[in-house]
Amino acid sequence: MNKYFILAGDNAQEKVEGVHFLFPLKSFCVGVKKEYELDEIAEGSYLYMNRILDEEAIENLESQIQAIEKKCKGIFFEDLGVLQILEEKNSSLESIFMPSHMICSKESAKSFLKEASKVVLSPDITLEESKFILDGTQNIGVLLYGHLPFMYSRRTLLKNYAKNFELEEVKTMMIDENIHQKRFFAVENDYGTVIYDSKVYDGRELLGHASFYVISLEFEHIKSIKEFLKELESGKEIEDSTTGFLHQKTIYKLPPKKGEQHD
Amino acid sequence: MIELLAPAGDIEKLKFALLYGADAVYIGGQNFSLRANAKNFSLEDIKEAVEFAHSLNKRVYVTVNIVFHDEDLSGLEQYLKELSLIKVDAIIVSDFYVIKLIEDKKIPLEVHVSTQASTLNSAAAKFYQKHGVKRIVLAREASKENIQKIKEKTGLDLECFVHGAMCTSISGRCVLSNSLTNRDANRGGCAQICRWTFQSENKPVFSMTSKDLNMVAHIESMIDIGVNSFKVEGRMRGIYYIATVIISYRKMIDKVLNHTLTIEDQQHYLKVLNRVANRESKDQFYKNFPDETDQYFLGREEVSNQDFLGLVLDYDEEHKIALIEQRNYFKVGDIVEFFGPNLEVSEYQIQEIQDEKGTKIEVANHPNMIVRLPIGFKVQKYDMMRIKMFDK
Repeated sequence: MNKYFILAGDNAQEKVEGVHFLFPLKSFCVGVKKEYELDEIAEGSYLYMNRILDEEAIENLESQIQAIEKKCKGIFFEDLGVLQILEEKNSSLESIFMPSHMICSKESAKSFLKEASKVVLSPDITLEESKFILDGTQNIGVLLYGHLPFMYSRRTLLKNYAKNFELEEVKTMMIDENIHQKRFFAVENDYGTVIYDSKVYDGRELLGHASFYVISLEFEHIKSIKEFLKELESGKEIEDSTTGFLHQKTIYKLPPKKGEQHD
Repeated sequence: MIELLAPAGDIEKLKFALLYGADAVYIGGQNFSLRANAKNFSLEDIKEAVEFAHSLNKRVYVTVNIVFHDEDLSGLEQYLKELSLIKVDAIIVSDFYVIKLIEDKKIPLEVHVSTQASTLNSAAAKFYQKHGVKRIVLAREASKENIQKIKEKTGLDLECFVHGAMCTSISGRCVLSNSLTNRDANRGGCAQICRWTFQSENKPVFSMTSKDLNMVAHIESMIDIGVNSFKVEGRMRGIYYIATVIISYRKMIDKVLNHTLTIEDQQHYLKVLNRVANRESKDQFYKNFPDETDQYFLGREEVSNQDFLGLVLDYDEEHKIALIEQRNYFKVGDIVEFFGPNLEVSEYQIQEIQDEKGTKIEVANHPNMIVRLPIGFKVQKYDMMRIKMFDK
């Protein structure tokens, strides 16, 4: 049976076997729709912290760690400071390192697995690369479903835009890039702005390869988690979806221009 | 130790950076480094760079700062060992695997964590510290309070950007380039999508471009709170930009250390730095949280700077004639300035221009043409001639 960790957004968190819910902890997240105070979080849950934490936030975490331990099983986090705090406090919490873009090789994943309980692969790599990393390696998860985060800025880009053009301030906004006809959406809070792909990511080709799967329903409305998972596992086509970088291999050295030799 | 750290895209830029006052330079090898499409340094070039820098008692750091995919790992260990043998002074790393590799294989290399790792707190810094890291290049989003606390709690060497371009995103946390152009931002292929234009329905078109960074007003404060290395961005920039920025920060840092820096000095250097830049600059996250005035929202004209008139190749002291390689148009009668590693800004009105054969000409109008200028005061190789800027 697959093991799912789900960011439920506004959707009802119904009990389903094999499903754990991730709770975005207030003031430790960016680009999420709903955040929770610690006392609003169900016992035995997992916390989600996707912010790059400044000193104030890390001190805040340090002061709450005992209370978190009493209530939660583990923390999914983006900032390595969380891992250090867990170690310093000799914490029994599971540490799940889930950086947006920093684990793209088997060796990186293995290096972090010596430090954290589990890691989540970056979704910036191809299917072949993902399988190579996942196959034969335990405790590595992948994003299975959700909108891919393409950019995380510490700036309040939407607020700044509204102020500059004297528009009404909004916390989410669709954004179009007209040359490539790509659409994104931005979500903002006081800690920054995240720009997501407007198409939902479908990573089901990775099913069966990872130890666990992360699903983000932050920006989706579904009737029931159970039904959603059933449909997801059935392989039914997902409308307006993308496979992200699974079949889009990136390059970084540009081919020489005509008449130019790269050495 | 207070260090001024300069970018160098090739060996020529490295020499200018060090001669104009940098204490250290950071360079990229031909593999494993961001700015993948810069000329970059072969191992032979790195060796030459290190020998040159060490002859001046200065340092060379090599960036090994991509986020590795498995296909990139071949040759990495051998490369690190070779960098160690060449005696580079440190490498700048973002992928944790590289740090582990150096730790596990006991490769004698000093490791600095790149700004791409987005370190903003002391706990993250301690994580790296326990794996042998000596220095953290903090995220550009670090405030004064953050820097101060990280220093107090870790004692690590801290390196902060003081000048140059900014990412709109937290560095390393953006793959817009991957999405739109297939160019991998975290492996050096960034297509700078944040500078492109976007639209939301029928609202005004906008870009997300950040203005550049300058920390002229905060050098003293940064020294006071324990910043060790003052880093200038711009491995793709030319020698005139590098020389101008580096000599300006060199003079400001020295004046801070001698307790002689005045507000007038700061204003002067800010004018010089603004003139050489092609975008406005602000102090960004250090003192206040950036707002809409720290960004560009609409397309802007980036005028190419034509202040750099010529590079001194040699000076004949007996006949008081400088040999100059032309970089931009100048003519007899122009009022220009010379400046250099050992030359304070010196004003000069061009009395006569000779071509290479000694024939008098009125204008120097061919790119890279070699001319001879009779100049009464001594100039040296590596000095530069520019348009007269402003009175100080």
